[in-house]
Formats: sequence, structure tokens, C-alpha cells
Amino acid sequence: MAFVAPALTAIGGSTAMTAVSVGLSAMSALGQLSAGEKAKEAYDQRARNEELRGRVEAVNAKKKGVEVLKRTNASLASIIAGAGRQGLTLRSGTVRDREVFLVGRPASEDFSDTAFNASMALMTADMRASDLRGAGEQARMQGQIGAFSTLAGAFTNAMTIGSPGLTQSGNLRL
Amino acid sequence: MAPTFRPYQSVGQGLNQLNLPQGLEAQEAQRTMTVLSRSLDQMATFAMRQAETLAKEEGSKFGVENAPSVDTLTKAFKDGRDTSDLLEFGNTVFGRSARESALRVLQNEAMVEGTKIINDLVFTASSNNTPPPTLQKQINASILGLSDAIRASSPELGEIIKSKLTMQGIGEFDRYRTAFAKGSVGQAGAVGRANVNAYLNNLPSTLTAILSKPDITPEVFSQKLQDAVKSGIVEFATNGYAKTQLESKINEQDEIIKNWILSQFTQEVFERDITEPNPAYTPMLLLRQIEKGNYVGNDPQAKVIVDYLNLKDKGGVRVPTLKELMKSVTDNYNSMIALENNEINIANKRRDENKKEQLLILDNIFNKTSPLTDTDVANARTAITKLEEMQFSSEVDTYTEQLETLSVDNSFPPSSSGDAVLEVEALLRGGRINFGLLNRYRKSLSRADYNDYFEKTVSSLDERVDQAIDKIKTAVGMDYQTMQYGDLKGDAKFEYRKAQVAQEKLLDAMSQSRLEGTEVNPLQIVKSIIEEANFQTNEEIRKDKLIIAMKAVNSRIEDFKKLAEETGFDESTIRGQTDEETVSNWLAVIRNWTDFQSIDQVPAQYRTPLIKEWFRRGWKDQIEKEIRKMQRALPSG
Repeated sequence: MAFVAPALTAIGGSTAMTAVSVGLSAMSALGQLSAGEKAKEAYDQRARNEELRGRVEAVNAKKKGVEVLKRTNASLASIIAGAGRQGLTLRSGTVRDREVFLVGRPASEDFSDTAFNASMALMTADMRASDLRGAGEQARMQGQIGAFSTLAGAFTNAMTIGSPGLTQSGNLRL
Repeated sequence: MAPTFRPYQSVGQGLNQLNLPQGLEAQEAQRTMTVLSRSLDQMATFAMRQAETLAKEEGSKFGVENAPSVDTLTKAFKDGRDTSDLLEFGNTVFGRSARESALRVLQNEAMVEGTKIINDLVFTASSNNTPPPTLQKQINASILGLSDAIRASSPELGEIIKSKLTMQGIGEFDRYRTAFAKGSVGQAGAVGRANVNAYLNNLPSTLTAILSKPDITPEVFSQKLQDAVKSGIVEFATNGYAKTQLESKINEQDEIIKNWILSQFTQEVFERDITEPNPAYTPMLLLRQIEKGNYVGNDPQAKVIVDYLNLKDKGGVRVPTLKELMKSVTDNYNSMIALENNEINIANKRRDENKKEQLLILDNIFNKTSPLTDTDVANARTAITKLEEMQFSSEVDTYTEQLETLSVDNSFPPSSSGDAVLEVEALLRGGRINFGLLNRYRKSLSRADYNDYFEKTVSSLDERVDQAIDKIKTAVGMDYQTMQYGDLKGDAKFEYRKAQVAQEKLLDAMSQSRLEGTEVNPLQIVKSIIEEANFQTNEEIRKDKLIIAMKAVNSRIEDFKKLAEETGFDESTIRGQTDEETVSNWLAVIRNWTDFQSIDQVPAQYRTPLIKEWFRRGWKDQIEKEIRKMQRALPSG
């Protein structure tokens, strides 16, 4: 911002129209800064929404897991209860096969799926939120760059317009 | 009812679809970079605009400071130099701006210069009563001179200058033409002009007549000069000269009188003094005295002039100063010296040309590739005589020496023919040169080359004679040159003598060839010499040895046959189809007997008395002698 001081000095000695032009450019720059900030806020809001949605999905997945456990308990109980009537001892091979192949294996597959869904819901929500926040930062930076460019253009233009006492310093010295 | 087994019912939950980020940050970052790039572009464009403005200002300043002057262009144009790039500052913003400002400066300067020239021309025309068409031509020529000089560098500026100055010239010319027509410029008629010119032409001789009167003194001479000036003015006025024209003629008359005094003193009077033998009147002494107002020579008219110049009152006549007089005399003296030097230089130049001409004649004669004719010798002598007359003694000595050599023995040409040199070189390289062949080229080779090739011919023939002698040695089968006749035995002595005779025949033939200059080839004639000598060949010697060996073998076989009943000796084990085979068989039998220590080691069928005798005499020597005898009889040696 080294150009601001001489530019302000130049503006101080310039015409009213120049001052008005620079003032309008400054307002434009402020507007661009504000626009950038608002865009960032919008992105942040969307990030928070994404995080919340992820947690909801995770809870739903966990509920499914509880249901899997309930159904597992019921099936195992029916094996134990029906074994005597069918003339089977609890430690027999048939009972063991039923426990493992007809109950244990499918139940554990269902449970691991629900657990995976819950954890992925949280992770992907976090990633989306991070992406949105990054986008917000970029939007704010766009506003800052636009504002800087506008101000720099305005000041350099004002410096080149000139006025008595500055660009004619050599003549005045004589 | 007793509970029955109920299998596990799946909740139907699979893996959810992944809801991953959409890369919004990257999209926004792209927009950020676009915005940044656009901003930087705007700033760069602004900076370039500023730089362009600055370059224009700097170029304009540079063009003003470095614009070529009109004088520079005019001088370059007169000298015919290329000025097309004088106003080239490069095809850049800076260069274009510099060219524009330089052209503006040049245009202003050219206009000022052109205006000044036109004004001067009009003023001079007014003073000299120049006719209007002449003035018009002068103005046009001046404008063209200026505009053409600029046109070479800048055609468009040349045209602008030409048109502007032409407009100005037309205005000035029109004003002059009007004034001329109104008669404000003085005019003299054709008759008046002729009278005045005749008067001025006769003025120097009139003045010379005044100075040549016998009783002339400086004072009288002064009075006569004044009268002459006055009569001249009357002559001009009565013949129509007025105002500036009259002033011009008066000035012309003054100039004629002044020049007459100078020339009269230097060319007509002073010459007598510098040619005077008296050393007191050397030019330098006279010149120094004249500068001081003294004349120390003997010429009375010169003395009158110097005394007149020393007078304080010269009656208003314009005369040269003493310094001008001295300078005129010096210049005249120097010019005479320069003329004399020029004459000397011209004479030297002619002498050099003549020398070159004679040298060319001599070089043409001495570069001939055939022997000199009598005409050549006569022409060369004439050229040398001319060189001698011109005193070029060094060249005379050189060419006389060459001519004497060639004219005494003119069988050799001065220079060798290129073809002859090539052919002789080829003969030398091929080893075919001899005295007869070399003599064929005698008329085509210079003496030096002939002598050189003669030496090489001798060397070449010597080499071939050595080779021929080697052939004799081979034919005779001995290196007879290194042997002593007394050490030889039997046929060898006879062969030795034959070899000596053959060598003498060869050397005689060579000597005769050199003496008579005939062709000879030692390698060729040695063949017939060897044939005539009829040397015994190696094969013949071997066959003799074979006969000796066969005698020995037959003797041995006879001895073995005597013991055959006891030993069972079979002759066919030794006797072959040919003598060589028989000798070879016997050699095969005894070849390994050298190391035998007792007769018992010899096979029983070969234990003859002779063999036993060999043991008594010394077995090893005897058996080796027998082996050598057999070997000599065989082709393998």
C-alpha cells in the first residue's frame, strides 16, 4: 500500500471531480469486500448444515444396528428352546451349526454394515463441511482482491491526472 | 405349542451411497485466480500505457537533441554519401517520436537556412544588376540543393521544404523583377560595358609603361597611379555605370592595380634577382628584407615599387602591404619549386615506366621454354643497354649475367617445359630413366633442371646396377664380392671368375651408355650377361651331390648284401624307384643313429666293417657327415 500516501497527497491537490471518483471507487471496494464476507458466511452456514445432516444419518444407522442385535437374540433363544423337543443336546453339532451359519454370520454382516454406514455418514459430512468452508475462504479472498484492484486503479489514475504544484514542481522551483 | 427354531431375519440394511464433497473450494479457487489475473492485467496495461507516454516524451527530446543539421545533410549530399539512415531512430514508440521531433527541428532549420539563402541571392542580384531570369535560376537551384539534400533522408520533408521555399522564392523573385523593370537597379549599355572592359584589360600594360620610364621616382609613380585611378572612375561613369554597379567597377579597378603591383614585383622583376649568381641575393635574404621594407636587389623598377610602398601618402590608391608582397613572392617561388619537382617526378615516372617495359621484354625472353635464338639474344642486349642508359645498374648486372650464360651455350632453354618436367619425373619414379632417355629432353629442360635430373639418373641407374649385381650373385650362387679367390676350391674358383667377368661386362655397358648418351637398362642386360656366363645352377650342383651320395649308398648296400645270409638284409628296404628315393630311405635309416654309443645299438643287418670302423674313428662325426652328404643330394637341401 506504498502508493496510497502519495496518491492521497495527489488527491489532496486535485480537483473535486477527481476526489469524487476516488471516493466512489473506495465505496465500490468496500462493497466488494462485504460481498466476499457474505459469500463466506453462506458457505459456512451450508457447512454446518452438512455436519448436522451427517450426524442424523449416523444415528439412523446405529438404530438399525440395535434392531440387528434384537433379531439375533430372538433367533438364538429359539434354538435353545427348541433343542430339547427335537431331541438335541445343547452342545450337539446341529445346534452349533444353526448358531453359526443361520444366525451368527448373517447377523454380524448386517451389524458391520450399519456400523460402517454410521461412521461414513460422519466422515463424509465432515469432508463436505470442510470443502464448503474452503470455498467460503476463497469467496472472501475474491472480494479482497477485487477491492484492492479497484483501489489501486483509482489511486494510480488519480496520480496521473496531476495538478499545479505537484507535476510542475521543477518549474515552480525556478 | 413348543417354540420352534426361528432363523435370523435380516434387517435388509446394505452400504449407503457415499455423499462426497463436490469440490466447491476448487471451483471458488479457480474464480479467485481469474479475478486476480484480470486485476493484474489491468494494472499491467496501465503500466504499459504510462511507459509508452514516457517513451514518447523521451523520444521527442532525443530527436530534438540528435536531429541532423542542414549543413550536415548538404555536405553529405555534395560528397555523395548515403544519408538515408540519418533520420532512422528505430521502429519503436521512442524511435517514431524521435523521428517526428527530429523532422520538425530539421524543417524549421531548413526554412531558416533557405530564407537566408534567398535573401542573400536577391541582395547580391540587386547589387550586381543581375537579370531576373538569372536570379530565378539561382533561387531555384538553391532550393533544389537544399531540398534534395533533405530528400535523401526524408522524402516527405524534402517535398515540404521545397514547396514552402518555392512559395517564398516566388514572392521574393516577383518583388525583384518588379524593381528591375522600374529601373531602380543601375544599368549600363552594351557599348559602355565594352569600353570599360577594354579600359580595365589595358590597365596593367598602362601601369607597366609608367613604371618603365627611365626617370621614374616613387613620388612620380604615386602621382601617375592616382591619375590612372581617377581616369578609370571617369571612364566608368561616362559609360553608364552608377550606384552599386559603379562601386563594383571601382573595386574591380583597385583589385587590378593591387594585383599588378604584386605580379610586377614577383614575376617580372624579382625573377632577375633570384637568378642572379651573386650569393648575397639568395631568395631567403631578399624575402626577409622585403618584409622589412628594404630592397637589396639590382632591379630599379623593383626598388621604385618598394620605395613607393614605403611612402606614407599613397594618394588613396589601394596597394598591397609589404607582408602581402613578401607572401606573393614566396608563393611564386614555391610554385616554381613545385613545378620543378613535378617535372622531376614526371621524369622519374616515365623512367620507371620505361624500366618496366624493358624488364617485361627481358622476362619474356628469359621465361622461354626453348633455347634462345639470335634474335632473342639481340633483343635482350638492346633492352639491357636501355636499362644501362637509365642507370638501373642492379638489373643490368643481373640480366647480363643470365644472358651471357644462355648465349654462350644456347643448347638449353632458359626455363624448363612443364610437360618435359612431368615426363622426366614419371620416368624417375618408374625407375626407367637412363642417359639416352634423359637426352631426349635436353632441349626442353633448363640447364639447372637438366643437371639435377642427370644426378638423379645416375643415382637411379646405380641402384639398378646394384640390383643387377645381386642377380649375378644369385645366379652364381655365392656372394663373390665378399669372398677371397684363394679360399675357394674346385669349380667354385671357376664360377668366381665367371661372376667377376659378368660384373665387368655390366659396368662396361653402363660406362658406355653414359659416355655416348645411349639408352641402357642394367636389369635387362644382366639377363643376357648371366646367360652368356653359363653359371652352374643349384639344381645341377645338387645332382652332382646326388651322384656322390648314390655312390656311397650303393657301396653301403653292397656291404649289407654281403651279410644278407646271416642278417636277412632285404635291399628293397633301402632301394627306391629313383635315386632321390634311395638316398631318402638310407637317410631315414641313419637319421637317429647319432646318439648311438656302441655297435650293438646298430641293427644287425647294418653292422658292416665300415660301420664298425666309424665307431673307431669317432661315431658321431662319421654318422653326421654321412647324414649331411645324403641331405645335400635331396631337393629339400
